[in-house]
Amino acid sequence: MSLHQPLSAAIVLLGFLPVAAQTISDARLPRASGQQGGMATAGPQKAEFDSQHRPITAGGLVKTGPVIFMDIAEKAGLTRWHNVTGTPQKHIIVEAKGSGVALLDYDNDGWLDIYLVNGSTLDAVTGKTTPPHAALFHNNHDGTFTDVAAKAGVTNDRWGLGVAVGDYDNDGWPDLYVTNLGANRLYHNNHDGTFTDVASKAGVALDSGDSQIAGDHTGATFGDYDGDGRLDLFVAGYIHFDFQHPPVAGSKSANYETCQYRGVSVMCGPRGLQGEGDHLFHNNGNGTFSDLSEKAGVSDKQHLYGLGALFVDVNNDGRPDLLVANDSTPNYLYMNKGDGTFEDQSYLSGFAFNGDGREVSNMGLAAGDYENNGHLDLVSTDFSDDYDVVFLNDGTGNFSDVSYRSGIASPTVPFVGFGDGFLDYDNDGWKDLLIVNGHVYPQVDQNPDWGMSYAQRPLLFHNLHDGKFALVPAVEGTGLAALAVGRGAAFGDLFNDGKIDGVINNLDGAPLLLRNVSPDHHHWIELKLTGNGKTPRDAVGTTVYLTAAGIRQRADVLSGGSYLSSNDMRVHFGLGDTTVVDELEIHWAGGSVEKVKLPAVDRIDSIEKGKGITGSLCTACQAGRR
Amino acid sequence: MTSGAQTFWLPLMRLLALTVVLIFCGVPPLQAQDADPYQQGQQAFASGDYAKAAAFFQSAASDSAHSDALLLEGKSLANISKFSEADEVLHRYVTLHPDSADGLYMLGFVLYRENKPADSLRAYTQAAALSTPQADDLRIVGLDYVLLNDFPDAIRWLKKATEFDPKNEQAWYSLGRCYYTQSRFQDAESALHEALALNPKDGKVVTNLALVFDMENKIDDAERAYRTSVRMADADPHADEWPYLNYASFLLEHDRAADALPLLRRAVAITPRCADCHAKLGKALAATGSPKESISELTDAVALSPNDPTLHYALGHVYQSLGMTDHAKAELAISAKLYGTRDTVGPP
Repeated sequence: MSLHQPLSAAIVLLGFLPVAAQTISDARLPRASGQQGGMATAGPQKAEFDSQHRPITAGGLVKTGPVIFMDIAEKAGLTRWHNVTGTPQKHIIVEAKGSGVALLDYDNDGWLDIYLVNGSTLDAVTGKTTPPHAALFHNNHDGTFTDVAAKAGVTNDRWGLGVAVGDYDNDGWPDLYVTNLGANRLYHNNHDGTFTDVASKAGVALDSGDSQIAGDHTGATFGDYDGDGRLDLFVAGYIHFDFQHPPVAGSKSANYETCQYRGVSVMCGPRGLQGEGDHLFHNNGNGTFSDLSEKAGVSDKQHLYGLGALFVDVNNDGRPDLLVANDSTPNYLYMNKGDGTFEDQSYLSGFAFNGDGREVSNMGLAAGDYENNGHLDLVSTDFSDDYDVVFLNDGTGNFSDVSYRSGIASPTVPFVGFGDGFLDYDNDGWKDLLIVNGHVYPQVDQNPDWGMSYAQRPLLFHNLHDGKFALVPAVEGTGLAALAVGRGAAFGDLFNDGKIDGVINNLDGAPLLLRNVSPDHHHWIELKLTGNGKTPRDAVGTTVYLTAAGIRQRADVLSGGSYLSSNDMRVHFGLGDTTVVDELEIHWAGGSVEKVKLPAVDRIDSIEKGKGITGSLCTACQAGRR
Repeated sequence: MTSGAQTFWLPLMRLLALTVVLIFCGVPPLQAQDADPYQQGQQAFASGDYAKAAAFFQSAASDSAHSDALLLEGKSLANISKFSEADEVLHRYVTLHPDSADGLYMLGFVLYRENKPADSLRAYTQAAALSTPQADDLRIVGLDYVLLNDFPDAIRWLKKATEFDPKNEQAWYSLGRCYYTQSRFQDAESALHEALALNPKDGKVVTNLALVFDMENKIDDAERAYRTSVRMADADPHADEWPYLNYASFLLEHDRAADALPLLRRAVAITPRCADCHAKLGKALAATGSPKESISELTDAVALSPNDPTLHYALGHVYQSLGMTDHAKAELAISAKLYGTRDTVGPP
């Protein structure tokens, strides 16, 4: 080989040897459409910018348009509390997952309160610093809230992730189950504004017994799977975490390939990390639970990376089935066989993967009958470079991916979706969809070519009544333009005005309170259901069909869902311009069907099984507007 | 390996063969016809009969008068892609001649072709201490880093290669591909434009430019480039399936399955053993209302890539759409089983 170039001292001195070659476990050729890695399960997608060259995830705003949500968190007193989860650099995956939020009326005063789960830090876990605490914001009925977590005894002070609401002892007061990186909490409601953690006594703590080893517990959901009138509990597991050997790049705990995203070093996982199994706890009726995961067939033997979880009846047989959104791995759909066991129909049902037959990084789960045909459809949020998946139910629990057809797919591709929920924000009788977003890698902000931002705006889709949705423009200065690293989200009527609001628990930041200020004047009805006998007291698992103006809507009383969160358990129906409800049919959990006549609308009726309407709250009436 | 990677690597292999030939600028010119195996080796090499050349140089290696016979044997073996044997021969040569930059550079190249990037880089480092590398050497160094999944360093050395020789089209091309892999699309576009300016007839550059435009959301530019790449492939009797497959994938993504069908049929005709071609054709057929044909194509795809759970899943759901529940269940069960084995839960 002849040489024509002058000697390059720099090259000779530096040499070509790879400094890090020995730590690379998996030298491989690049993927089809560019190197991706990290949490992504799809190849990189197109970068999308707005006219000001802002990534579409942080831009695409409009100056004027209908204002649907305003963020009133500060005015409401919520912003004095902050979520703290790990370090801002996010070296470890558990630092990026964030936490959930629950809407519940813990003191039974008729107004929803807010429980915000907090994360933690490695320093706090090892006792070097004071751990951050969860917040329980009591609703002051005047648009403001007061954090009473310490007084109520629900600060948690562990590395919190998820929350589910359920009256597991049927005493008429909602209890809280809080999942942690480590031992979980079951906060029993003492009926006096305080709670007592009874998780260990009840057998649902999932404490590893080793302070250095912890299961990363995530989504939780209450549901009466065996129809005995008592709420059982399901808890999803994400990863098995060793505090002494966290899965950082180059460690034995991590697969190098997942420690890079688009060629940039990022936190490792979840693929390549040791997963954590799921648990189903049967309620023994005496304040304790038994772990029957194996017997019931829902133990997650593959230890997939579970996040969102939800008991819900997807095949209309009156029994709650079980959904688990698994990150970067196939979802689970366990069909309730009615004999105390479940059949894994994840693949056959079409829920395991998206329509391309590919697993996605499933995070949150929304369930709702958006076509008003009585079938419960699902939306699973996931990672950027992939679309959030709309699973259309044929009524028997078989699902088709209609994400593109429904108009959800394309706008969601650049976003990393977390909390999501169906809500009829304009009370037109058709369920809309709100998706909360935020990236997991802070590094995206250093790579403007990617067309993504770490903090992202939420996406609201309006139901067009024909199986399609249209993205509602984000007007500058409104809640839909608020940028945050969104995680958990819960939806409900916080102000008892018939308009569904949202609370978002943001990673390393203050929460958002999206107050629904939609200018519509549509009518509505909400129902607070109370069960008895074979129906759990809080009616979880009950399905309500309401017919008005020729439309038959469906709503379900659910615990859990979204992303590690729990929504308002009262069912809500928008009625459009009609003030007449033609029929209300309640399919109570446990079997019986009851029809109830509703004399008026624009109010919250309390209905007890077998007793009809037992109470009514009409804030508009009190204000003299009705 | 998936489509874009194939697009990237297959033409590269062809280029590398050319590179090896160019390396033989260093082979001494043929003098006269005689029975000397060294000279016979030179003659065979000059006529392109590398296997025979290798045999002659092997015989000549024992002759101390021809100390470079081992090196030439190694080069001959590399030219017929016998990299493992070339590796052994060249190791012997550099052991005997530790100061031979030529031997070390050649060894570095052979080790790269053996997919031993760390060893290759060691050889290149030793060689560079003896003499300055050329642009093609730096390009191989860059590609070693690609094999190590270290794209920042790959880009560093590929850029250096283009600085050494701004007219090295392949260095620009490889640099463009690395930028693309890193999602640095504007840089990728610039590098590929440089490559295209040097060789406007390089179809793989056009195809990759289309991929870059696609990622930059320049849809019209992307489709124009995809069409050009397909036109170039149509005119090339040695064209592979990638221009057709890439354009078809673009069309499928834009819900134009009917337009994708002829491209996918062409891709399957060119490479009947391309599982991805059959799979995409099967999906396009399903999307255009031909489920039975779709089953046939997906069945072929499954046969070619039996361990891909997504193919079984797609096939299962087409069966399901036709009411063939038992077949559907069987395929979905295989898919589940394959995912069960693939999604290992522990660290590697």
